[in-house]
Amino acid sequence: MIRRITPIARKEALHIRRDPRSLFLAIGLPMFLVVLFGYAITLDITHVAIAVVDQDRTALSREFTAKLGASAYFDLKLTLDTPAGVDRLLDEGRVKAVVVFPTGFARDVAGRRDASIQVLLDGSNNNTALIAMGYISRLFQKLATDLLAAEAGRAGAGSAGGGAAIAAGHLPSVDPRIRVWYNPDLNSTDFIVPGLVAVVMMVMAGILTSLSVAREWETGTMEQLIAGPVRAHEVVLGKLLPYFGLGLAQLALVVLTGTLVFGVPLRGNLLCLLVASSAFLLCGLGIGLLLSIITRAQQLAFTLAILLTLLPAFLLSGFMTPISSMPRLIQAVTYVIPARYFIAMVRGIFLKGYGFADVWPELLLLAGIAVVVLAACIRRLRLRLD
Amino acid sequence: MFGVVRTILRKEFIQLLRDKRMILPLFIAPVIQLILFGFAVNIDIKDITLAVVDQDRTADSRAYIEAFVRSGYFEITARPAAERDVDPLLAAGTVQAAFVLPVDFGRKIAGREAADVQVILDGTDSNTATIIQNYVEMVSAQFTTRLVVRALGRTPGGIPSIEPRIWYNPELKTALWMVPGVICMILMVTTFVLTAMAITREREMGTLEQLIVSPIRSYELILGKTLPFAMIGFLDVILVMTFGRIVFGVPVRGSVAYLLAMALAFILTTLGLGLFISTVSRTQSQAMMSAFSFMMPAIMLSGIFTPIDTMPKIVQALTYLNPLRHFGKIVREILLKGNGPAELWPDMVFLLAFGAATFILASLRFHKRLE
Amino acid sequence: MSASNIVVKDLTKTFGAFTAVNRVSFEVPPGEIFGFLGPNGAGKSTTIRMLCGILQPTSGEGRVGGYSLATESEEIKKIIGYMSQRFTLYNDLTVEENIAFHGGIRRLAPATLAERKRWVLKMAGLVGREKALTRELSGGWKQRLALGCAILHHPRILFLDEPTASVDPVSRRDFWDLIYELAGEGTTTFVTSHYMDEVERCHRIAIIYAGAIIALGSPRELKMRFAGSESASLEQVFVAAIKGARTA
Repeated sequence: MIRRITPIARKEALHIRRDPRSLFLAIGLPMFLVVLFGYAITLDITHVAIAVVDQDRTALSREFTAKLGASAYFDLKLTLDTPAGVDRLLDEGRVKAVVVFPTGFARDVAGRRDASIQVLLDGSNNNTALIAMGYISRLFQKLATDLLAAEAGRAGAGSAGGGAAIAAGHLPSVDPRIRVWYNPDLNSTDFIVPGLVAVVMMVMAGILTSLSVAREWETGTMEQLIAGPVRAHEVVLGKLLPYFGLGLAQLALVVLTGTLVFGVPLRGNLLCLLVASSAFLLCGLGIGLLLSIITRAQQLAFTLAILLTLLPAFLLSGFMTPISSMPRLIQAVTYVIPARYFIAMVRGIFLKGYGFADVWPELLLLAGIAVVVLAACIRRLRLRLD
Repeated sequence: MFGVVRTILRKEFIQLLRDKRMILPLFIAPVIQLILFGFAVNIDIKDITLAVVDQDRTADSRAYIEAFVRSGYFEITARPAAERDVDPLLAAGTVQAAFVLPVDFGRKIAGREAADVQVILDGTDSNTATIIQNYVEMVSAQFTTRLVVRALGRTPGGIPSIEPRIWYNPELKTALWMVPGVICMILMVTTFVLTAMAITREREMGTLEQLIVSPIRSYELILGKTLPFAMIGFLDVILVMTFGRIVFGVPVRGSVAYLLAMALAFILTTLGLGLFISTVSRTQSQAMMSAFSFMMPAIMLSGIFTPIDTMPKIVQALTYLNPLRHFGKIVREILLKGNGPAELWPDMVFLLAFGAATFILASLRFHKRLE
Repeated sequence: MSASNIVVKDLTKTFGAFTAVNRVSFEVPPGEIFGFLGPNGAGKSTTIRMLCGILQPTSGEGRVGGYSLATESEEIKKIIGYMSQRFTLYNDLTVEENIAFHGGIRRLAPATLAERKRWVLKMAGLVGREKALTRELSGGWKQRLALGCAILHHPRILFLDEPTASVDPVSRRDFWDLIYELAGEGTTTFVTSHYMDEVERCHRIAIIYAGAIIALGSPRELKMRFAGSESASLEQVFVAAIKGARTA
């Protein structure tokens, strides 16, 4: 059997090698993605462009404005006196938020009346909006507390007893001491790059393998294969082998670039990573090949491969957005997506120092899926001309 | 001329739709993508799994914890007794965050001192962690304010509060950001990738030779082969916009006519690029791979899914060459902001110029290759 | 000289340093069936491409149907028909869809097309199978359908590229009967092939080797000249001619 697999594998490998585009897709594109996500794309939101409309023009509003300008979270683009032109600012996207101090703001604060600051947010990108709002809320809460403390300080100066304690600035407060584990700088690169291993493999696996068998049917070379003594499982394994090798090469590439160039920590068991990646790779390759076998048509196989391997790996696996944020129904769907388990494993291995003991359930599951899919491939590859 | 173009058009449609399964990638896949992107890609914080170690167990400590639970964002899934019990929970990913309230929490508050809370976040998902971090700071500050008010015995007025007004997307739905992106992506796949494959297919099957030998002009062939995909692409745009409207409530605040006109300009670009790829590919799989290799970077660097303004300046400059960047912006702003030519004219000019240039150059090259 | 002949003088095509067609000259009078025989890579396809007006000759001159190869290729395309067994038809189109396509490409008026369609169906024996997928037809039917599609527009000159390559002898004979019929009506036919049996039926043959014509004449003449006997096989002629060319 090995003897018959080898020529099939070799032929497939030659196809890949002789066609520089498949090599580019398998190696070049992943490299591009790693560089892209490591360098260009960051989910961290800082320096949010904002504008301030100060209709109050008091010491208080100016102090608040100054605090906004001084914060590293914001990039204060302009300060206006009136709200005229605010629409244009937001419509044109020149700022993402506008903070408006209404007339009589300081007076209301001093008079202990409701004093609300309007914040207009560009909600088009809800992620940015949410985070921007979070920064603004944080800042203003602190300012509010400072105001109270100052007020208490002033009041305390004029009364006795407990006032002395207040005068000294002693006020109750809750101070959260926040520690971030695994990724202390909240570096989105550390979050994304491990997940890239999954995406990169799916790109190749789904697309290249989906074309291979369909292509042979369409160009007629499948007949040649059938005419020989090969069996279905030999064809399946023979075709998968070179892509499997490529996939491991991709793994090495992403790991090396991620750790050496972008400093993503790799705290866990390398062997575990290898085994997990192999299992996942087989799942992806198997699905691509199955599509190719079932459809026998390149265009169809290709578009289905994108739909069933790449998109789920990108969107439904927790790669960029958390599964817990998805609607319940879709969360249920993610349970059948191999990428979901793999991403959790791979992040754990990189950032949390996982080893076999931590991931064996998911590992078994992936291996199981791979076996099922490959078995389906072998069964469906009926080596007949119908 | 029209007769010949019509003949080729008819053949293309017959070939395309003969395999009924092609309905799937042509019309159903866009809808599926829309649903995936609209629903799945969400960063709304909810169901954050929380472990709470309350070593104090006073009214104040409970009130503090209550402030988080009440928001609906957090779900307390574990109440370990000791701080060290938290470690394995975080390591296994069972909880995303842990609060440890020390034994002197209530006492410190009563004594008008600063009370500490240990907050440990799983930083693996840095985006969520950032949002949680913001939230913790904010709630803590709010809680502090309440404590101070209570301590001072004063009425709660005169404390500045925030009144957020969210424009364009009041409910902060992810779909509103995604749907324009999905429209762009679908157009790209249909008019770019499929066109490249279809034209190359003719070359691969050998039937192109027969066409060359007949007196049809290059432009008739080009039109005949690109029009089907332009038409399908258009239909897809309308399909996605309608679905987006119905299912996700994506508004159409600007002019639909203007949007479709811009789609046309964009399609010119993608068809041109698809045509170009067909001139440098011998087989369908080559065409597909080339198209995909171009498409993926274009999508990632278009601002469709991740905002451009967080990218390094150099990269931002590069994106100006990306037609997808301009079209994505146009679609989004027409739909969400109701913008029109007045605001969007720079992007419009780019699209038209780029589209015309690409299509003409590609056609010329195609014509030459035919000889 | 009527305008359905082919005249070629010193036709040459070089690709860089490589000479694919080397000063080829011949004349095909109207109504003749002319065969171009040669091994693969001898220059057959390059020659036929030049004659069809889709490849510019490097030097020499030629006229197809009176039109110049170098300058009037568009006119040439209008008056010729081209049939290649593998590449003329679309496998995923039905019989009538293929006919409609080729007719549309040739800008035939609907009435003309309808009439020609009837003719092709009858000629190919495909009446009643209009809706069959071309892919499902066997070699002989496909071949006749391809021929039919190639002559929908009544071309005066017909180019056949390995027309009966993988077809059974009976179908092949039927096909050639058709060609003879067309020739009788004045159609000039130019056939390229590397199969002896195909070329056997031509009025005259040119044997091309390494870009040059090494023999030209009727099958009978060539058999006498190269194999010494009229009952020799073309294969013997072929081998002898090539051997002669090699030692020359």
